[in-house]
Amino acid sequence: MSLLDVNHLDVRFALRGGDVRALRDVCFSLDRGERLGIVGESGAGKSVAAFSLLNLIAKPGYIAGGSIRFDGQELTTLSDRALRKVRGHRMSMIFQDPMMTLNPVLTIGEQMVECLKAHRRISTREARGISLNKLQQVQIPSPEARLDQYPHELSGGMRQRVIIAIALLLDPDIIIADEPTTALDVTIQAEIMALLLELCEKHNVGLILITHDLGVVSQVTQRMLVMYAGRVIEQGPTREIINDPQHPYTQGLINALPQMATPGSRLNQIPGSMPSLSNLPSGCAFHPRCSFVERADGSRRQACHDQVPEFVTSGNCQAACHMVAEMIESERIPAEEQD
Amino acid sequence: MVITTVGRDTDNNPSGMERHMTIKKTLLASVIGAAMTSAALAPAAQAETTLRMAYDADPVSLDIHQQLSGGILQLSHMTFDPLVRWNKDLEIEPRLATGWERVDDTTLRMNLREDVEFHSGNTFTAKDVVWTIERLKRSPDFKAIFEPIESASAVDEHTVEIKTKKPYPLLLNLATYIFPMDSQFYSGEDESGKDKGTISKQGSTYASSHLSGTGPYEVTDRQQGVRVVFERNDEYWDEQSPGNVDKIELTPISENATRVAALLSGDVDFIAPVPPNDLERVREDDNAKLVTMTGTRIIYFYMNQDRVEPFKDKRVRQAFAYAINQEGIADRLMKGFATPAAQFSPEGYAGHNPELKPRYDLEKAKQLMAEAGYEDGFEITMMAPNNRYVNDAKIAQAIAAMLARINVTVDLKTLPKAQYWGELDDRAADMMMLGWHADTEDSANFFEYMTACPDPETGAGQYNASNYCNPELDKLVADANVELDKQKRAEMLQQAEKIVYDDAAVIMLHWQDLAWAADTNVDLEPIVNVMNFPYLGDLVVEEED
Amino acid sequence: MIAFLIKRLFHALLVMFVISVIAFAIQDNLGDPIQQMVGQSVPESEREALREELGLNDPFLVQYLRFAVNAAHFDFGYSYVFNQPTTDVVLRHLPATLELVAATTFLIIALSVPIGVYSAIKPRAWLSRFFMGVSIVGISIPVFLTAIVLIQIFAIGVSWSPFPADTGWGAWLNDLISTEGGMPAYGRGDPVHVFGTWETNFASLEGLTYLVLPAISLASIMLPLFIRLIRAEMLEVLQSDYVKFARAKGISPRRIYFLHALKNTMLPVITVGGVQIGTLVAYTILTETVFQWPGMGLMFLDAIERSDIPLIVTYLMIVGLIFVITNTLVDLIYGLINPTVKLTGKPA
Repeated sequence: MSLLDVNHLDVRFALRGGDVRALRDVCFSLDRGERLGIVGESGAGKSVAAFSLLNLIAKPGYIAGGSIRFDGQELTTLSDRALRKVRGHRMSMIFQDPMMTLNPVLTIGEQMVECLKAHRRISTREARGISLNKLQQVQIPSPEARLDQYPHELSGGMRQRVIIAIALLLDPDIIIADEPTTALDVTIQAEIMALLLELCEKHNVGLILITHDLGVVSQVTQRMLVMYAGRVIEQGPTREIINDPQHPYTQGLINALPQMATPGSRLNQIPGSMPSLSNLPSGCAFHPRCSFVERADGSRRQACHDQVPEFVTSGNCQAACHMVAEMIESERIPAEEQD
Repeated sequence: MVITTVGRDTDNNPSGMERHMTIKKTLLASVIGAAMTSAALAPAAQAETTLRMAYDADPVSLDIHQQLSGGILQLSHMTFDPLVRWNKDLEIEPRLATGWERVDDTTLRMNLREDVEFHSGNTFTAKDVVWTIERLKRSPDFKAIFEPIESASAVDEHTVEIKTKKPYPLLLNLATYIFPMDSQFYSGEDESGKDKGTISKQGSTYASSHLSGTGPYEVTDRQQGVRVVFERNDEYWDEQSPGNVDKIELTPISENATRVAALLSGDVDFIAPVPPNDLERVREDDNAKLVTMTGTRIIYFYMNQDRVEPFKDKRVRQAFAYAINQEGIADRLMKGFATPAAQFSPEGYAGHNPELKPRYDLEKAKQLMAEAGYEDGFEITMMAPNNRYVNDAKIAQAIAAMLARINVTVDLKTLPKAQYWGELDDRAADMMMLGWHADTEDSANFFEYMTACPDPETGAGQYNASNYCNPELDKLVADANVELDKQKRAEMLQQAEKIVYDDAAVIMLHWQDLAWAADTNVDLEPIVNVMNFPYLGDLVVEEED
Repeated sequence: MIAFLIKRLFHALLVMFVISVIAFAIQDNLGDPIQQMVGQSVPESEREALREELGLNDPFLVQYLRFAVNAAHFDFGYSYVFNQPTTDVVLRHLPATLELVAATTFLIIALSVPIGVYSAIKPRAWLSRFFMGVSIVGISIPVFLTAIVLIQIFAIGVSWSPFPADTGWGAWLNDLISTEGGMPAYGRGDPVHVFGTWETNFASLEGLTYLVLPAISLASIMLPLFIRLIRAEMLEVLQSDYVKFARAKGISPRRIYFLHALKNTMLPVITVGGVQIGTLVAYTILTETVFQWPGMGLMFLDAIERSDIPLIVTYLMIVGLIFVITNTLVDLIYGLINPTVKLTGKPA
């Protein structure tokens, strides 16, 4: 059994005009120590997925259905008080902007100690000791002094290190990192990512990395899933998806990478933009932008317009695409016929 | 009502000695005796009666010669005694002067009461009267009204002779302002080397913070603007006085509504003045009673003849007089809290002329205007204060509306009193409002200040903003001022009123009523009078059950 | 820090100087003090003599120079009404106003923080809506009216009988909505002397009863502002990332509201509110008038009524000084509480 099992997660926002479905039928799992990447454009639902694991979605968002099983325990039915025991303790989070994430009027030490004290009966001195230890682990220079400093006295990179330290304070099983390097300088980004990777490997901590940066995903994660318009449209081992994406959208993403462009020519864009969640196209949400709705012979695949595609498995990967389904179907029949 | 218990026996004797002697009688009986005596004494111990009162302002100084104002005079009546005073019916009653006789036309001899002591313990003698009169003549505020007095001298310990420059019929009126001060107490040098008797309008003097008089109360504590505490003078000479208040706490409450609220909530027992808006409220309250009386302050309007050509014509002035509905104003605007007037002198004054009544007649007013050639009216400016007299601004507006009916357009400006007096001095508008109360409680005072031909040198007509000048009238008043025969004098003054009436020199409105309110067990009625000097020394407060 | 304070000291002096010049310039419009000092029948010659004596006929510059020289020796003139140095008069009245403001501040803080925080945490609860509605009423009703109504209800007492008085339940309900009064209607009562000119109402329970109604009246004009301010700030703060992060750490809601959120909320509240409260000292006039509270406001109103020009000038200068002091204190406190700001006002 996986450590984390998310099944058919359905998250909605109760807006005035009616409920908007932010996440539809999201399924994924994470084993102990495994590193999973979640990629997609802005608005695809990556952050919502991340926050929903600990039920931290801001109102008017709410979990409308599905299950989140963590270490055998169902999280969606837990009271807030019980969930608090999990937050910061078994599963911790790292946010995007380190300046905004730390409370400007409390010292680093206060913000670390309170985390420890929230989950364990321990004296301030002990807590400071542990905090110091973690700060050393994230390689912050002069960690002693940092404890009594305020967030604004640290640089962006150092702040993110602190946040990583906070995430590790209680030796969690999983760290959920929501775009942890996006707000940092390019030069620092690599450092922080390397640090995170190292710590996760060393302590066998699972990582759910939400990002739009495919480069980072390919370096850090073992498995990845691609989201579009609130759904997971492809998932599988990172290496395989990067090298051989099945879903047209994923292909478009990979192609759009600067590395994939021919020098001197334009970058490959996916035409159009992601639809708003309240106004989704029928059938496959990607179909208006997809170049594979038309088959090689010129006919239109009606299913793209009519039906939401189901996952089909291809090797280790799964993709939700009618074209892929067709391909697999056509590949399989000859094999069956061989019998 | 606050009642504090102080050990005094029923005879008001110092009971200490008696008690000790009783207890010491027998050793055996001492225990029983002590218990019994104290038990016997306890119910007999008299409670101290305290009156908590609130005026709109507290006395600005303890020096009663520093300012001639209602507040200072009220203080004078509480802490000093005058030679004579007015009773409720405006008759003279003897106080520190027990009798008097006219020696000649310009000399009055007065006999003084014996066995009277000041608060300091000094004995009251004629010397104090002389000293006081000389000080009054030095006081910037009083010297004008004491001008007629030439000198005063002590004939013996208890007799004083007052000489006037000319035959002066109002000497007894003036004597109501003579509150003999403790000359010894106020003699000598104070800490800063100044003479203790110095009168000063600014800067602190000995007399402004120290007081010794013969009056029913002593000042025992004073915080200016916050509270004055008076305690009954144990050695007070007037044993006939029914007054039973031992202690008075005076607090100023300038806000009208708060003063009334303080009475109705029981925080104070006596308030004055009562604003007209709250008269009904007080009347309806079960625990309070209201006493009202016609006052002697006349409210009227000038018509400036120098500024407005038409005002020089008597017919125009009379037209204005006919256009004003004094009774309407008194009734509806003042809600009955005023007595409509057509002359200066209120009832009770020598010059009050019973024939002169308000003469509202709009037709007659229009007719007179037409006769004078001003059928189409004209424009005038008007000024009035808005925070000095009761409903002053509203009255001015009503007048303006009434004048509109005879086609006179009025440009009205109302001002706070602080700014208004300056404008009055400058004669800044065509019609201006003023309220006046005669210091001497005598009619001549009105003419001297309001209608006399203005003469900056003599100071005559100081407030004659009409610039009205009638030498005949002035002569009449001057003659009255040396006429010693009361009857004759009264006739002359009444004649003067008629002249003013016929000439319509000013527009008379009304006399402001006075109102006081108190707890039901405070017997206010007997001690208040039209001059608004409540004789608190004679106040009786019934004990609460 | 020292440089900061010295700079502020200069500010104060500059403000007081400007105010004194303005007050002097307009003193002719403030009324004629002579009129207040003498009786109505005093002749013009006497008045002129007095005017000379007081130096009121001297040209503006002469009068002002005289004043300025004296002011340098801390002599701000003699009150015409009280016949004492104006500084003495002001010092005598200052403690009363300060105590009133202190009591009011206490009320404001004690009420606005819980109500504001609650309304931010549960903005849709009926209690929150109720508070918001009442606060609008509070802002709209002039303090004068509030004071009078409070006096009527709590000092005098009101008896209502809309319910049938002859029935048991009717009489009980009538009693419920009627009051007997009993609170003091005015003044400070008998404050206890502490030292110098300071007499306090805080020394006894009885003394405190005199503070209650005036403090409530004065608080009623400020409370709505504070409640709304705290609520608005808190609402914004609760949306912030650091609050989300604190939740993600598993911190208890109480700690999040009252430490993480509140501390950030109070920063702008202190800036705005601090200045409001400091300047409250100058706005007690109406409340003090209604309650005959012998503080600076009442003193000032009396001074105006009686054209007591030296006192008016001194009061205005003191108020200017108070404004500067208040701003300085607020800046200091803000600098102490907000770690991202150094006292010079620049971000650290």
